[in-house]
Amino acid sequence: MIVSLSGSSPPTEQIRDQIRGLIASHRLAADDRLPSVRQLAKDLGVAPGTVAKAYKALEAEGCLVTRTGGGTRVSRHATTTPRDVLTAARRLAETGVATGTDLDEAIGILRAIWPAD
Amino acid sequence: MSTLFLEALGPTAVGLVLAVAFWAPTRHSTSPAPATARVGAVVVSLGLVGVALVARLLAGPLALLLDLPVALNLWWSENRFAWPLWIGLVGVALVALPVRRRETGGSADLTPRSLLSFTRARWFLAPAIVLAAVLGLTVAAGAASRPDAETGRHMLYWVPLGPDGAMGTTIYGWYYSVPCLVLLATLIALVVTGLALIARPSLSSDRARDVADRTARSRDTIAVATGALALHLSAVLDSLAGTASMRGRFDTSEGSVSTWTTFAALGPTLSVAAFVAATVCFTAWFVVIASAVRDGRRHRRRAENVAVPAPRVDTGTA
Repeated sequence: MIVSLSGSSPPTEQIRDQIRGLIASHRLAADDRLPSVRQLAKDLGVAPGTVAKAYKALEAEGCLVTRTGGGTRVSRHATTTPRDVLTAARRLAETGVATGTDLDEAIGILRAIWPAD
Repeated sequence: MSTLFLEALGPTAVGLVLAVAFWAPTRHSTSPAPATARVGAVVVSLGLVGVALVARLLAGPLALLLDLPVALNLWWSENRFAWPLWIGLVGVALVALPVRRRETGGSADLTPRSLLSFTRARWFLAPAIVLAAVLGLTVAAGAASRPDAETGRHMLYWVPLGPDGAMGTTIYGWYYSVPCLVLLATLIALVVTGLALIARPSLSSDRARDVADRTARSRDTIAVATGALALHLSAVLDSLAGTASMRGRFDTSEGSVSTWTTFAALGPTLSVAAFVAATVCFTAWFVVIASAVRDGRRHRRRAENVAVPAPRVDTGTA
């Protein structure tokens, strides 16, 4: 899950739009923790206020929730993707890459083992 | 003499066998770290093994064979508990603290990074057990220690011999343990700082390689510290085994009476535990070397596989 800054639009908007996009495309699940404002700002090479503004905007939209001592997380109301499922899917993808199993094979295996209704 | 050599060299040999036989061939789940990233850790671990081995030989069999200077013997008697922690501090500083600057800007991974991000919970099991044992023995031995009447140093252990007398020997009392507790706290602080500095910089564009590198460096840092802690524990256990072995004999009007410490029966167990702790130390340091060699081989093999060009298919249309 990479956030990249390019183009002429303000960095705050780019960060906000990309995080919103990652939630909408199920690449960020409910309760997934985001990096601290300081870490993300340092990694992107922008001022902490820029990232803080983006986080605040996403909080106002109901996409993120910030708790004291708990960091910033994806709101449960923003996505229906359960965190455990996404974590397991990421692990499956990593194992698939490590063992040379391609996406179609992985989907086939999942279909085969998925319990019938 | 052969027993002394066995005590000094045994843990090194067993540690080497354990590291190579049981650790190095397994753990293939993560990407291998590049060999260049591990050279420093290998050199540091080899240095630690070398220093520890020489110290154990000088304190054991070679002390009988060589005419060592009195100053060296005095230094050893004052620092025999602290030196493993000193070399651990140097080792952790060399393995963990070289911080590589990253170019920031442009893109960022949305995964939070903390000092535990590149570690596994199981890596902390051995150091936690060793630390608990060190602290437990430190408090027990410190509480049992009594001050020396001349110097006031808490380093003596007395066994009462009736109302008029007592026999005594040295013990790992507060005089020895307080400086070691300070070093212990410094070592833990250094490990925490090292892990935080490894995790803090932004990930490079080659994410998989960077994660593998940082995971290996975190593991090496914990292993080097674990080795130092275990060697310190071994010195404490060895000393307590010596204290437990104190025996006294005196004559009374009704015949000869023998006496010993309240924990004399634990003597052999403490000696074996000291051997095991030293083995844990050398295993931890050899694991750094064995895993670096294994990662280097796996990395080379992967590079060779990538370098082999795909076979060309001649369509015959030219």
